[in-house]
Amino acid sequence: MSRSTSAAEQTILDVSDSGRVPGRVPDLLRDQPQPTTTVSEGRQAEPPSTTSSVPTSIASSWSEIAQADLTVQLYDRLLQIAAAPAGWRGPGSKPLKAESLQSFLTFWLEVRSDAAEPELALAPDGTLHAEWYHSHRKRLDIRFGGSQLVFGLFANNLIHEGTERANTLASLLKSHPSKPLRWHAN
Amino acid sequence: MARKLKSPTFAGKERLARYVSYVNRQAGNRPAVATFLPDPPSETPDKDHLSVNSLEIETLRDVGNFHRAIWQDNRGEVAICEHQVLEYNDAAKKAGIAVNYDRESSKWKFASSLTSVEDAYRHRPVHRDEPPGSPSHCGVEFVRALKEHKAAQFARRLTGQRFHLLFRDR
Repeated sequence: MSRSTSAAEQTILDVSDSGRVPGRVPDLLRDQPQPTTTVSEGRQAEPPSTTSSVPTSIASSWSEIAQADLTVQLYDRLLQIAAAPAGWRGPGSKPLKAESLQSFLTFWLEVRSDAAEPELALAPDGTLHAEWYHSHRKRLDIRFGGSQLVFGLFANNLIHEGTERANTLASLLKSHPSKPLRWHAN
Repeated sequence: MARKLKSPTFAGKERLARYVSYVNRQAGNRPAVATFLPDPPSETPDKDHLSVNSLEIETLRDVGNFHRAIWQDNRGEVAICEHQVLEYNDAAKKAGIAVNYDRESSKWKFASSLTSVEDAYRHRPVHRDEPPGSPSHCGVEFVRALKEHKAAQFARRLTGQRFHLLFRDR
């Protein structure tokens, strides 16, 4: 292949060449705004930046996103969340933390075979929240912060709330009789 | 039309409005849990609060106009959640914060530490012309006492009601 590829594209190609399913990210990559070459007075055109069109938090988890096989809708939502700047909700609110996104993706790779895609949201401390919703009485939310995930599960008339390690929480939720990871708002 | 009141009473059935950012809007006009999480502690943690607008002071549309100007560059639909003061009190209780009514001062109070009791709600009007101010801006003060996952417990209890979408025709 003679054309040059960006770092992100190379990552995708590597994933594909290794035999793993590349997911829909290559399609999404084509949908992203491409870096433009600009010319200003007295300066040469700058080479295209390989990451200027993708928020840092997304770029740093590119391989995991490729493996996650997200739908276009969820990836778009992720981009919307990752684009929120510092101060998006006021002076103290923070942009999406790369480690929070990585924590979510690690969790998602562990549960996705038994799960519907969640709805995502951003917390003011920059952590990613995932929510699975069936009704007001049947809903699950998880905050992806550090090694401990903060979760709340409303299942029928029982409420479970607290913190748990990611792999333990994944096991608990996958084996839960209400199958909360399969709840989907639509 | 805005009602002419100098400051809100925060009576139990009075209503508080909370703006819902784009990144916290879920399907079916549901607010995400994160909508009601307090900001990280600031350099003045004793003044941290959750911003709301008292509908005793301004109408929902006035409040929507303010947030549309501040956060959305006067574009798009504005999402606002509406709750009674009593619903905030109940959410606090379920997260381990006792909010009690003090008849002497006619105010809701919470214990911010073992030795001090503070107002649970405060009127924090924003007076300015550009960008526009907000005479109805208030703080839910007891969020300062919510630590770690208690904040999430509080926030979850306020996500049961769907948000209003304003300015859909613009």
